[in-house]
Amino acid sequence: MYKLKNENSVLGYKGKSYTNENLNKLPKDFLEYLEKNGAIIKDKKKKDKEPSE
Amino acid sequence: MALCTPITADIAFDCTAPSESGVKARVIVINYEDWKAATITVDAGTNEIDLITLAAGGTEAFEIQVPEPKHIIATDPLVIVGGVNGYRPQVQLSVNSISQANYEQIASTRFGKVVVIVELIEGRSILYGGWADATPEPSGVGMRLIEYPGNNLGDPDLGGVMQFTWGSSDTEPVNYMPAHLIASSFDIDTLLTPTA
Repeated sequence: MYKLKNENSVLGYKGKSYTNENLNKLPKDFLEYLEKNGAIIKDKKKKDKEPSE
Repeated sequence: MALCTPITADIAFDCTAPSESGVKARVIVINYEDWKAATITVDAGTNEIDLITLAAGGTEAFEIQVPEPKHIIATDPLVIVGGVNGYRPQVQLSVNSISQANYEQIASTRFGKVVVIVELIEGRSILYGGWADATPEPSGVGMRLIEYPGNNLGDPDLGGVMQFTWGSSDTEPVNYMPAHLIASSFDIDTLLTPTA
């Protein structure tokens, strides 16, 4: 799961707006590209919520 | 960003944190097609662009240095073209790197358009020729080479330098948004590295 660096940001892609609410609906390879270029970061909080042993 | 509404807010002078005026002695130039293919984010509170990510595949922006900040003259007058009014960005530069290769680089922009980032001393930057639409996605008319005066031979500061002007074309409909602010949180130098 990813989140925008600035939580108040809106990102545009192919005519649609994305905030942290729906950012992870973007194509996975595009998200990885954005992360590689520093536009978004991994959302550790959401990772923490995943089921653990 | 409503276009036909009256002014609805004051513009206050903050005497506790006044902006430091002036620009840095360089501009960052992005080829127009690379700007249009970029991904941008905009701060929902300030409407400032807070991130520009150029598309994958080695796209990059380019830096043009000038001797002093006064050698950058950037304006965005409101004009009427074909009965429609809009802002017409224009950036004039005097570059002290006079070489045939540099001349040819600049001359190529009479066909290929660019957008130009002027860096403010106070930390933010201003984007000329482009702006973020409501989505937000990269928009704007871009600028072409419109004047190449070359030399002001009698001027002790500018004599013999490469002087040129980028602006929006006469025959192209102008768009509605003035130059767009880029937040200080975005490091514009990252644009100078080719994307992977």
